[in-house]
Amino acid sequence: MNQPLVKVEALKKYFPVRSNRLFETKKQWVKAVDGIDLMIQSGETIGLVGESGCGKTTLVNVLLRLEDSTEGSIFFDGLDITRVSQKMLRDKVRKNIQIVFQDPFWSLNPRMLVRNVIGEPLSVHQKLSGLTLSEKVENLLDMVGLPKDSLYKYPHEFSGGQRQRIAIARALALEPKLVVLDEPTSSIDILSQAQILDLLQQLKEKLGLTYILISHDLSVVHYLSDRIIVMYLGKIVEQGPAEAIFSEPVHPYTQALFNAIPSLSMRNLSELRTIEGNVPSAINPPTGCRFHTRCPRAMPVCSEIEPKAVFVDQDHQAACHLLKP
Amino acid sequence: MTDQKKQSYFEIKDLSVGFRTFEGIKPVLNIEGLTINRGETYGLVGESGAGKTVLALTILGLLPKPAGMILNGSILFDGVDLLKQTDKQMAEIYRGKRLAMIFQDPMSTLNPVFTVGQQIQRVITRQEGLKGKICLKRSLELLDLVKLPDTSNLIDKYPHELSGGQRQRIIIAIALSCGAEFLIADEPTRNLDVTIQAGILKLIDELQRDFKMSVLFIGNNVSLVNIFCKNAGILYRGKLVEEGLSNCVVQNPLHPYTQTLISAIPRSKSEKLKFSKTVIKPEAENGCPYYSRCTIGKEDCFAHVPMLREFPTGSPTESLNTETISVQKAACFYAGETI
Repeated sequence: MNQPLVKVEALKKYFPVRSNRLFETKKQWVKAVDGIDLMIQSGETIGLVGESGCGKTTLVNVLLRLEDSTEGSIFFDGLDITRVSQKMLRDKVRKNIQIVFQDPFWSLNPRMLVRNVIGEPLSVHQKLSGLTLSEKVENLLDMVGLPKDSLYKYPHEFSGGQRQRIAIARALALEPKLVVLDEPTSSIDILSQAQILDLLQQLKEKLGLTYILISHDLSVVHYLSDRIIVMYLGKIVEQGPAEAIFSEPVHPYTQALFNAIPSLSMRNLSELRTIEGNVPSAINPPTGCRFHTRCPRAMPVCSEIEPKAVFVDQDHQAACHLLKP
Repeated sequence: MTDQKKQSYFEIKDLSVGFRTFEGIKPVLNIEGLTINRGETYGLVGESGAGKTVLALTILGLLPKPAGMILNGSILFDGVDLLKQTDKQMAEIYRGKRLAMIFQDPMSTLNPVFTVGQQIQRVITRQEGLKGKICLKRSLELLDLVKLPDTSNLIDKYPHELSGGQRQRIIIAIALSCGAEFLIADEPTRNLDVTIQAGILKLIDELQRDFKMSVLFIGNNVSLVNIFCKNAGILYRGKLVEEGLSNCVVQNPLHPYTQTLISAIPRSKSEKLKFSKTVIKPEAENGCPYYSRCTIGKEDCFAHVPMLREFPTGSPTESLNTETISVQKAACFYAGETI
């Protein structure tokens, strides 16, 4: 196997918590990402799945180095990006990792013309301006399926789906290798969603992109992803090929998560299962397996020993005591 | 049909609502008829801008005035026309008491500067005149009802200390505090995680059964409406384009718009997504509202507005109760043709 595009090793990100008491000396930490190893091959689409508060967004923020990691390393194309200088980051890394944010109503500056929104990365990194910039932006608009006369319009003149297209065009302006999609369709309608998903799929094939897709709409994840990573409280509980995970999830958490999705084939509410309780606090996560407090199949050992990731199949692994290697 | 007419409990007739703009009055809603029987759930599906929330606000008499105008029609609730009630009557008799609503966004519905307890008690005091200890006891009962743990502690908390699911439960508790019989749930699980969504839906379902409430469920997710509601209606640009038992509508969609909506749901990688490619067709001003996006529309769609027509439905599922005569309606001249 050739060198992976991204390799994450024992990555940790802790946030300090301010104590409520005045003279409290013991410092507490929110363990948002707590020891994650993963590899992303070039050309893959990784689906990152989990409840809110499980650390998906923090993981991605650290990956983009919007946050500095507490421990561990991230290799992007062989370069450890957790330790490089800001200058190096800007010259080498940033243009290769781009992000499409969740809400296109907030992620586009309302006072900038579409030309400047999409053209900003180009003028910063490639020092383009004037006619060359306009031309490049026109090509990008064409690529995401927007008319050329959008160049001199403001973001408010577009619908949600169109704005998301602008955000995609901006992310692709520098021809990045890795694009992070943070809930790209959660705030737009189902019909625009279908169009955006189709566009993303086409662009991936055309430009050879690698995607990291965060979404809590599992049907979107199912549609786009090649591989799926399921996170719970800052740890990976299961990862493997998308088809394998959707057809035979092995971790109880993944199973529970999938049973909670309403699908067209369900007839009534009793087919929908919920997971009892809330996600425990990430300040003092449960000992042993972190899911044992809500797991329907918890055993005594689960609260004591933390399960190690076990390969259930080639490339499909899960961390649960129920599984035997 | 005669049976249904007798017991019709909530009925919208020829309702049309418009908004005043600089270019004159823009029609927003145009519903020929919508009936919800006592104790039934009705799911309304549509894209944003279809008029779902405007309908909810019209029912509650909360339409922004003077921008919003009721042009025509009536909303009969238990024999009374809600549109003819004065604001005072609406506030004292109906809204919050017999009619209740769960709003879309649990993050912004609660007031951040009051504790949860204060917000529940305020409603109880206003609607039922309870005060002091009795009021507190009642609010604790309500929190129990929506299955929140540790209620005596929770009641003194502020909304920001609670999770999205907990907040939505509190909103449900407030909505039901005065024994509502008709509940409007406007996308109650939007922005919530799937696991929490399932819990909230089950809670509403249970309460609906316990209190024999009628529920108007508004959503933009067809599969959600399918499992939650008995009947479903598809709203497009303020018009009902299809109506029927939700199982029938989902499995055998008649209107091209419904078909598009359902095929746009991503399933798996192997199944390609179908969605309407942008058809460049002029807007049909006197014709079918869906004409400009429809792939099978012909000349008569451009010239005439299709009315809701009844279609016989062969029961597509065995689990359907055979006693209920299912009538599926669609507003399209070519309903039933596949896109």
